This record gives sequence, C-alpha cells and structure tokens, in this order.
Amino acid sequence: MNTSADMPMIRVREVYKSFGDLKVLDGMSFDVSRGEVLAIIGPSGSGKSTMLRCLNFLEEHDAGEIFIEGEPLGYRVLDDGSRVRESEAVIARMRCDVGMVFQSFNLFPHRNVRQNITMAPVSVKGVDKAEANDRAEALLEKVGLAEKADEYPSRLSGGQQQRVAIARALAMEPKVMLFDEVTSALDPELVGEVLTVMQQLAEEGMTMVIVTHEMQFAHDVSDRLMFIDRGKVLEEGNPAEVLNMPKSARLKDFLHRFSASFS
Amino acid sequence: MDAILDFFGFAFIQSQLPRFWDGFRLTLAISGASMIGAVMWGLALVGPRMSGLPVVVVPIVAYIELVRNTPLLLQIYLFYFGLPLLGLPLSAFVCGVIAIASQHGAFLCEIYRAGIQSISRQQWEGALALGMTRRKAMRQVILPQAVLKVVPPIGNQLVILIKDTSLVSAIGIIELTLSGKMVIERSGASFEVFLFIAAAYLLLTTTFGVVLRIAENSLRARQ
Repeated sequence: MNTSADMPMIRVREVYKSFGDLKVLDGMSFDVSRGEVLAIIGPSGSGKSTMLRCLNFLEEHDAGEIFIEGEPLGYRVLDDGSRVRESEAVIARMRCDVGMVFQSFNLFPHRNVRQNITMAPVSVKGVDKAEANDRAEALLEKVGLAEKADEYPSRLSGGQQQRVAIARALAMEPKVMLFDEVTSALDPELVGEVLTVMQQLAEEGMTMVIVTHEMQFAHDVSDRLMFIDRGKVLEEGNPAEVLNMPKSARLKDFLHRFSASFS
Repeated sequence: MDAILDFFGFAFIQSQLPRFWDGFRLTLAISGASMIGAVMWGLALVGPRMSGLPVVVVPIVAYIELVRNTPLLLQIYLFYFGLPLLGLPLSAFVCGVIAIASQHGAFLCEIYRAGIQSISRQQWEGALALGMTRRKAMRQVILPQAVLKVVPPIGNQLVILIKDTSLVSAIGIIELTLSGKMVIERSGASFEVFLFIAAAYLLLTTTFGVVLRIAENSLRARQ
C-alpha cells in the first residue's frame, strides 16, 4: 500500500470522455507529483481544457479513473468493474483541495473583492469571518492588489480580475491549482502581471497544472510539459526538450505557428 | 371650472365616496393577499420546476400551462362553484385570492426560472470549483444576481395582478369595480363612475410602481 508521501498528487488512468459522437479524451494517463508544475499544450479542440476540467470533476469522465492524493475523484470503481458516483458532498469536499482559475475569471459580480475571496472559506470550510478577512488581505497583498479589497470586480481590469480569481482559489488552501488558459482573455499588456503571480506560486512549491498557449511561459515555469492532440498524450518530458526537439509531425506543425526557439 | 366638475359628476361621486371607499379597501386586501400568495406560490413551484426530475417537472409544467392559458375568470368560477362540490365550501374572498394567486404564481414561477437561468454557467462553475454544493452556490451566488434581474418583470406581473382583482366582482365580492357597478345601477351615472374607478386603479398601480422602483434601487445600492 502506498503511503500518501510517495503517492502522486494527481493520478489519471485511462480516462475517456466523449461529447456525443465526438471523442474528446481518448485514454489519457499521467501523474502529477507533489510540488510539480505540469504544463499542457495542444491545438484548440485537442481536449486539454476538458482534461483539466475533469481534474475537479466540472467535467465528468466516461471511463477510467482519476485520483487526488490516492482518493478516487467523482466515481468509485467497484470490484466487479462497475462504478458508483460519489455523493455531492464528497465531490464538493474534494474540490476544496483542487483550486481552479478560469479563462473568464468567473468572479462574483455582486460581491466586492474581499467578499469574493472570503465567501467560500467561510461558508464551505467554516473559517471564522475575521480570520478569513485577514487571510484575504494577505492574499491580495501577495497578488499585488492590497488596495482593491473594497472594489467590485467590474471596476477592475482583466489582469486584476484574474489575480483576484487566483487569490480566491488560494484562499481555500488547495493542494493543487488548475489554470485553464488564464491569460487567453487578457489584453497582451496585462498577461505579464498574471504570469508573474503564477511564477511566484510555482516557486513556492505549489502543485500546478497549467493549460496554456503561452509557450515561453510554459517553457520557463513548468517542470514537465505535455503535448496532447485528439485526446491523447503525444509527447511529454522536459519542457526545453519537448519544445526544441519535437519528435512527432503534429507537434512540429503546432510549434511552427509560434516560430520561435525556446531558451 | 364648475362646468368641468359638473361634467365629471363631482358632487355625485362625492356623495358616493363611502361606498367606493369600502370597495377600494377590499380591492386593496385582495391585491395584498393575492400578491403574497402568488409570490410564495411561484417560489414553491420554481424549485421543483427546475429539479430535472420528470415525475415532478411534468405535472408542474402541465399545471403552469393550464392556468396560464385559460381565462382567470373561469378559474375563479371553478374555485367558487367547484370546491363546494368537493366538500370544500370556501368564502368568495378566499376563492378569489386562491384563483388569482394560483395563476399569477404560475407566471411568476416562469419569471423566477428565467432569472435564474439568465445567470451564466461560469458563475455556477466558479462557485462549484470553490467546493460549494449546488445548494450553497444557488443561495450565495446565483439567487442574489437573479433577484436583481427579475424585479422589473415581477413588478409588471403584480401590476397585472392588481388589475385582475376586478374579476372577483363576478363572484359577488363588492370590491372597487363591483361597488361602482352597484352605484351605476342605482343612478345610471355610468360614465362618471367608471372614470372615477379607473382613476382609483391608476392611483393604486402607480403607487405600487413607485414603491417597487424604490425597493429595486435600494436592493441595487446594497449589492
């Protein structure tokens, strides 16, 4: 039996997922170790966002298994091979450990920045309100928005909103952070401030899975890079090697569009 | 000036004011009771309506379509003349209120549902990803946003409700409209009286509209 110390933070085994006739995930398997930063790249429609969304069960996999610290996510597979969906309470509890940041921020427009950050810790984890407020201040400091606590999200720039969204996810003290193309909706000049925060998180040892189109950033920040296409892992390994010495024609083709060398 | 007052039967209307006042108060009572009933009934319906369970959804949709697409007057008759046959003889007032609350509650249920559905899927996902259950997400994230969106259409619906209370005159409740008709039958002053009654309804609905606007603004300011 594995102890939790040598158990991977995330384990994905033979995961399949279709939307109607469209096969999106075609037998995905990979692990993410504690403290590791995994970047997932691939053409649009390759299944990378779907894979990421499966990791906190916002998308439900059709077959295969996903484990967070050894605990099955969403479904338990019984001895006879059939599977049982976990209760909503169990799924919600597991999501507390898996923070997620979205392309479209998804901040709550009817609450100010501080309330956005404290809402879930207070209502889900029962954290004391004053303590949650203190932690929100500290997190806002960390993402460089200490002075924006009383603003409403609509008064912030895209980059600021995304940094609040990161602080909001961190307030739950997750073990893993998922980033779903978090800079794709931003004006180019605002991308940097968000990537800086992510870089800092990575350096602090947060386990992260990043779906991104920012190749240079993926190269710089990730420990491992995974190229997926048509729902399968085509190549993975050291980011510099994967990006500079692509083996498959598909990856070569894909990288050609970015026409830069990564160093 | 006197000629104008005379034209609108001012002196006559004034002499009948106590009758109109009784009718007006009854209209107020029926409107108030039906509004509360309709708002609550709509709330009670919308949860099951959106539950996704066919055993619950199908009968509720059938009920909503039935009461929305048949005349309220008929429904009032059905409650008033039908319930006694089932051994439930309720007063005209109660039957009128139930019929109005039932139909307007059905309309309100659909308004609530539209409001809830107008909140994007991303808001749900943002809340669920933070470990909230659907119930918590609904209470803390979806409903507070939906409420603001549905206040104006709810207001419209309730103004229609106020006007619809005139239909209970058909089962002998001497509310504003019927009190006017009774005065007309004794005096023949139909033009003057109906004009006065219309003005009374207008006063009621516009006052209600102003109150609602104030409520909406304070709600917006608080969020």
